[in-house]
Amino acid sequence: MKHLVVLAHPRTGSFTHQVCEQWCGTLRELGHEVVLRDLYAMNFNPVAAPEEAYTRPTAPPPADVQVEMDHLVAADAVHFISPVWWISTPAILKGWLDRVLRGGGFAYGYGPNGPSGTLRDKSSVVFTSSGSTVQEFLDTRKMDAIRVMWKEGTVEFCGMRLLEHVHFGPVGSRARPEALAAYLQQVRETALRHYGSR
Amino acid sequence: MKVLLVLAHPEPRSFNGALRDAARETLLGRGHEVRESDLYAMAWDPVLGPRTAGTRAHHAAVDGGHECPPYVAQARQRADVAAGTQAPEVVVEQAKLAWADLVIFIFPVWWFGVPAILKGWIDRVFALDVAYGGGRWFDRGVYRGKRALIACTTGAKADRFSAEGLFGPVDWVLHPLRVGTLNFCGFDTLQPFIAWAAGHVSDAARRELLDRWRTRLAGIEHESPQPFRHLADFPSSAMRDHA
Repeated sequence: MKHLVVLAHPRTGSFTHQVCEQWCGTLRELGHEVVLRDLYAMNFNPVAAPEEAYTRPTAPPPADVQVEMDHLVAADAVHFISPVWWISTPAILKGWLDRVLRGGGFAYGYGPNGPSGTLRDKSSVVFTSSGSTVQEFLDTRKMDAIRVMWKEGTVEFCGMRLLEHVHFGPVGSRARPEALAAYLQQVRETALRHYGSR
Repeated sequence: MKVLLVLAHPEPRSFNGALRDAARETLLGRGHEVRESDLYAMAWDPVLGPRTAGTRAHHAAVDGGHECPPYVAQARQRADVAAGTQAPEVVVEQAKLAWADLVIFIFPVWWFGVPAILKGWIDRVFALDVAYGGGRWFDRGVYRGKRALIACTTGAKADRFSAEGLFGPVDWVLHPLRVGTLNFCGFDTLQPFIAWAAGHVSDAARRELLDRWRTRLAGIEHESPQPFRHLADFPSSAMRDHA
């Protein structure tokens, strides 16, 4: 299988990068092909220009977007790895979604029954993490909002199957080192569970 | 009242642009003061981190000239606030927030959220130790006493965003901005103004929406805010976590 991994964190060596290395490493170990898009390293431009508006789906995509679209089309699975910033993604990843998941029949289209996703037969796993405790996320219902944004709002909207949304918290200064090690083990097990048999 | 209009739409002649124009005209006509952050017109750089042009220069100075130093978003913000080395464009926007009694966010809903340019305005401007931190959040938030109003357009009609609809309640779409960002930093929020399927309805329907918007803004200072979460209601985690 071909996997596209979209990563958004400004610091190499961060927990988010470690999750990414574990995820990509395990998938490769299992014999899968992995293409990594490290948005900060790529200096990806997240700002959709006027001519990219969804009201003009027939306008040709800019060259940098076309590259991402080609990766997406070629992939059997698409995964997103990022920290939670303000109960959403970092802007650089939000802009990847804004610009690459185009309408007009590429990622979704409009039929007589409303919108429908066109990226069928692709699966997806989403990894998020936060410095907050999971309890705080549950209390303030932030966890629900994040899940809705990723599941109904993005992955399933495009017709992909969300196999799992894995959230880690707290990471950063409030996390114990052994907790971080357990999180990384969980990343490995997630890969084995969903993609262990080719 | 002092009102800050934040617009995030690539096309000034869009319906979002019309909402901004109508807001400016109505509020000025009612004697309010208005300032604006038109993010596309400002060519706002939304990327928090070393990529950001404004921060990269002083990072290089602070970190001894490394092109891409190790970066921890919040730690960097804290250090920059303490040292007075935040990017100048960020400081300008923070001053606008400090000035405003009411902040109006005008944007199209893209992927159940705000456009990246607005997401990155939040990522960079709502900095640790400026907009929150040190136990200042929710009812102890920095922006207590200020109000915020979300005005957005959607691609789909209202029934899609109902409890029984395909997308579920629109509250979930607005939760990250309303609760996770604005309430978190102490803002009270007013009932959002949602222009359903603004791109797909008739010109007459759009004109009617703009009329409703103007009428609402004409009396905006008399509105009551939405319910607010108080830290005391969440004793299990909230009080302890960020205190």
